[in-house]
Amino acid sequence: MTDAAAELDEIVHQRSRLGILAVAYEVESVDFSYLQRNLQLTPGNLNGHLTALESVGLIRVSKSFRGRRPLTSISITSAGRKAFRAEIARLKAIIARADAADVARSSDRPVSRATLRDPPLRTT
Amino acid sequence: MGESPRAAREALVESRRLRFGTRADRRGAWLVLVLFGIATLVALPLYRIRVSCLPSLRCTSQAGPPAAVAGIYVFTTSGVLRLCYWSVAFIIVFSITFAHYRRLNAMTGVRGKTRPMIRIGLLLLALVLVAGGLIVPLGIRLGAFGTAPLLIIAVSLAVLAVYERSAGTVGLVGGYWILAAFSLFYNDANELRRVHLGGPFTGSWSLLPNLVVPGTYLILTGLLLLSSHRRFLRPMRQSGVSHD
Repeated sequence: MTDAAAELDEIVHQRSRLGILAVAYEVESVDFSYLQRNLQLTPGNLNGHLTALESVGLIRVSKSFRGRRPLTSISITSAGRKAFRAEIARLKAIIARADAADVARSSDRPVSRATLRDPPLRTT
Repeated sequence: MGESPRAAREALVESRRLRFGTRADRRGAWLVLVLFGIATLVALPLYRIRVSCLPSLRCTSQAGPPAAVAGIYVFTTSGVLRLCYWSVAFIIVFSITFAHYRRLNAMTGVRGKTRPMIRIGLLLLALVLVAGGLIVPLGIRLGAFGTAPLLIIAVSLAVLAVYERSAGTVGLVGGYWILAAFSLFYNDANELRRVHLGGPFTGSWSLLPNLVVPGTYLILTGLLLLSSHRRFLRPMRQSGVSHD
């Protein structure tokens, strides 16, 4: 992995930033207040995350006015879409690896007589 | 990077939840369906067919249905009125749609894409206006005489459903496609009468099912979407999403 890719990965990896990308991925643009409300972040905290994402070109932040109220809109870039999809794929791979390891462990484990008599219910 | 499977699972679940919530917040297709439904039903009087007999031709029955036998009856419907009506109706529906989504954006804070639907709808409308009176294969008459506006509605709604990314909307619009196709075949030549599916809708109101069925379907499905949307949003809003 190159330094730039590793940096990008590190930025997207953070939970709140992944949340910002998840929301922006679904829409043309999203308001600052929507992100703040749904991610339950303070304005300062959210601003920090947005600056980090904008600095690596994953989102675009534009400021305008709705009536007299200032309005900050966030939209995802194509690089942001790519990074978000990559992060989701990475998370899925981690889960798949863990599930595969669980299956392998359970098949190696000796089966007791009690388990054979009353097999446990699978709850997934 | 050493992330635990549990943390990965939590991040994935949370991300999915946020995406579903955002999609739900930007949805507003119900109003578009209802508006198109109303526009279709209001157009009904314009589709009344006045059947008259040309003196030079032999007419076998008096108040005959718009027969498939060419040359006996002539249809005297106001195609120009229909075209004018649909042009104005589409512009009104698209304008309200645009305003509706803008209002939704101001209320929720998320903006979806509506321009592609409006662009494609207006483009198709222009095409139909240009090709007015043109008969395409299968006997479907575009423009002044046929039910081509239903096809424009179907395509516009399909574009909207794809951009809204809602399986429910896609399914309901799929149902409308079937009805629109049916309406195009159940045309002014009343093709289905040939296979005895014309039913009681003959004569002046032979085009009644073409508009009443799809129009009513759109209104009902629009209201259904609205109620299911509200049901879906309630638990989403109550549960909330927490981040650290």
